Amino acid sequence: MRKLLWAVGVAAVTWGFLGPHAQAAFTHPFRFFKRPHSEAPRTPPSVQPSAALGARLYVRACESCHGPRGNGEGFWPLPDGESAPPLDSLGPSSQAALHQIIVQGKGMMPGWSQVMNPTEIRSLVLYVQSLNPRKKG
Amino acid sequence: MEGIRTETPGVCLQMSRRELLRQAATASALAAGWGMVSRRAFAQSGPQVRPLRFVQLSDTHIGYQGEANRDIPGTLRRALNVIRGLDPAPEFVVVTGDLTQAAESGAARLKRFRTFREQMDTLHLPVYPVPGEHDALMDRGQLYQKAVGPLHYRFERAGVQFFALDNVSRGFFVGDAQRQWIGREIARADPLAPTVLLTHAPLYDLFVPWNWYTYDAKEVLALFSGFRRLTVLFGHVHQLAGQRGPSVSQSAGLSTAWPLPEPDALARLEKWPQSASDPDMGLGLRVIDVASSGQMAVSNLLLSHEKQEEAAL
Repeated sequence: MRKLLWAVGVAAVTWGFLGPHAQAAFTHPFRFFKRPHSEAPRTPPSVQPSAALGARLYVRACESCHGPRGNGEGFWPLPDGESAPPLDSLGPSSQAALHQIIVQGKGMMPGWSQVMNPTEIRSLVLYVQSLNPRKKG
Repeated sequence: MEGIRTETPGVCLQMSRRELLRQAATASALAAGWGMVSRRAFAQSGPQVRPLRFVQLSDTHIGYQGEANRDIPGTLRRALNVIRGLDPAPEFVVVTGDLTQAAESGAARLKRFRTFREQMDTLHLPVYPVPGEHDALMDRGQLYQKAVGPLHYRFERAGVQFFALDNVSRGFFVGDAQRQWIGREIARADPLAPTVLLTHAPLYDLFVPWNWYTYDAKEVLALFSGFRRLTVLFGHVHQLAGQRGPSVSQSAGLSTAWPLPEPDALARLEKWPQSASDPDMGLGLRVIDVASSGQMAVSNLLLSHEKQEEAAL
């Protein structure tokens, strides 16, 4: 047992003696070979576009400017002092345009395809459409 | 006890004490050998840190006219005077965004950028800015690049690595293209050297309803996962705020323009009129001292009453 403790002690002293550089080589042994890669925040491909997912994304990406109800009454004033346009009074033929604006952005509106995948973009479109009540008749 | 005996169905492993000690010794020798080899490999890329002092200015909002600060140029001049009086003098100044207040016309914005540069030139120190949304969101950073310089870049001073990032010009995110650039730069960087990320918005969710966040912050910080001493200096929030995690420390610099309220109620972000009796209330700058050990210490200098608050990053 004494020898075992001695061996552990030797290992601990060796570890300390090696210093942070060598310790980093142990904690990240393949760092020399692993190239850091850029990975966008992605919803798994198996997830289908949905207004529910869009609602969650809306809170994180859109609510500050367009407001929790999508009426343009946001919590954050735009740099030019103006308000973001309301999203709750869109015309019936605006689905394609809405998709295009979310993907590419317009004016100070970000192009969200930089950080969102097609499933997420489509989900946002579905949610924003849900803010617009369907007209009867 | 004669040895360690482990039994599972069909498998019988027996190791004597002598064998265990031999294996422990072999493992230690291998560890020492690999460590020496890797230390040499690291030594070629790892710069030595020498003591360094620099200043963080933030949110100067040149060109703003209104009740939140009735003398924006005057406040900046007072801040620059504080910098001139520092002993020891700083080696350079970083500015974490919103150098200027947004304006409708390009000519007005250009004039504001020029005014900012003229003011900073009086320091005779290198200046490393990053864009804020007021500087770059209007036109996705086009005018900023012409008048000030690149939206993101990397530099090194005294063994400290700096990544100046843009998380505002296309929205409150870094984005895929810039993250790929970071990945390429990281491959040439030293993960053991002190590393500072300069951004305008915080790289964590400080308060999402006021856009005090970066949408893809986790993905950005994941790129730096092997870095041991990572510090994020940001602006945008016009107050002392921050977050200290196990691998990264983030903290906001003071503004020279106006203070903003603490995030609390879910209400529209509003600034309040400047105090007549204490016009510099909540305004200031910070001095960062890097020791040769790589440890960073921050002194927040408040213009009001020339108060000083110190903290370690």
